[in-house]
Amino acid sequence: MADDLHPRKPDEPSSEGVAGAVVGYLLAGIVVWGFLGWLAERWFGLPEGIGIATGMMVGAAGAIYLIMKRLGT
Amino acid sequence: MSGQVLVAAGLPWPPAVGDFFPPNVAGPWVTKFTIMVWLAVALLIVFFAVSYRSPKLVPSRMQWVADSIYGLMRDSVAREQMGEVGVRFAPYLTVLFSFIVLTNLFGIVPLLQISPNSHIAYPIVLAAVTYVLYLSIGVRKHGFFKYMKMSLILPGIPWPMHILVVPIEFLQNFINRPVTLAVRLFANMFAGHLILLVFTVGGFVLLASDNIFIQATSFFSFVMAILMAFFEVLVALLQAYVFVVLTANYMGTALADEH
Amino acid sequence: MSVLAEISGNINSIGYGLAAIGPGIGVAIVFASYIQSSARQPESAGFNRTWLVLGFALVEALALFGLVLAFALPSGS
Repeated sequence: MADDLHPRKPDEPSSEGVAGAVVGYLLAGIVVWGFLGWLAERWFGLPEGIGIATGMMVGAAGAIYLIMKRLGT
Repeated sequence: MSGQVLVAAGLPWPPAVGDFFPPNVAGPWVTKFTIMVWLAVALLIVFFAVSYRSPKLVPSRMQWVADSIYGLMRDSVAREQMGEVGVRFAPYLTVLFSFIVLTNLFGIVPLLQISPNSHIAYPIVLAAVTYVLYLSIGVRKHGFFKYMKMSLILPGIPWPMHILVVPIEFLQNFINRPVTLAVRLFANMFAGHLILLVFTVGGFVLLASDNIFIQATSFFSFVMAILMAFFEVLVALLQAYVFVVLTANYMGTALADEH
Repeated sequence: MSVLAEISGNINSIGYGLAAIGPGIGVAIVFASYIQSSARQPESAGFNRTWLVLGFALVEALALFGLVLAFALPSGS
């Protein structure tokens, strides 16, 4: 074949790297901010479960933002 | 009811974590796993030494196999993930891949029937080597502070988002990568061995009951054990490939230039 | 009333198992549609990659919620 049918841009991340990065960023975001939310719940005496839930939501949102910035075009 | 069958048959049912620790061979330092790892290393050294003893341009069969493994690692793993500088690391990736495939396949070889990777210590060592490797490559190429800045701070986002994003980046780059690398390999090998234990020992437990219909279902249990053994081969190869590809990818991102 | 049979263990694992059904099907649908669209029109593969990553991340987030909560919540069998 004279021409490459699917030319890859030289800087495009490989597919295994993308999959590993997505799962890794999501897990890290949920764990870090869920833990911080749980700490905040114990510190401020909030009702049971609100801290960890909001922490996980914020962490997941931050992780998705980070994924789109790093891996999207 | 299962307890009464257990007393009658004397079988280790249900399978527990204690089944993963066979009795020691010689003192607390030489166990079955030690011998298995020595055996894997010996096999690898003998195989690669013999197949490259007098390399010809038209390869003999064993040299062709060794060439194919090395070619696979160099072309589709090292060159694709790390670019042209990755060819330097292709020998290490080849040996890593072969070692993990061999120790994973020990899970279904008769007489050896457990994989060393089902104890968390062995995947931890392999992942620790990868961790030190990709950190030292990144620091040596970019300098320590520049490497930290490159991996933690993302250009082009408003500064309040940095407070949200930097802890996530730190956890992902420096803690998540080695831990998930080790735990992925360990969990797959542990679960595979546990499934084989359940179906094989469970087949014998069903065979030891009094009812003829229950004894007939032990046939299906043994058939499932055979199918799961074939599935173990696929999982062994796939997990070794994923480990090596992710290692190459982490090294590639450590070597990458800034955007 | 006497106890006839008893199941013991952690109920968090049942919760995680139920929570993993939806995202499993969801990720499969996302990747299946990317593969089909790339097969019908290969020039769109690069453009669709952004949406592939975004869709996968959103669906996988729910599965990871289940995984983290299965370990983080206190166990009461």
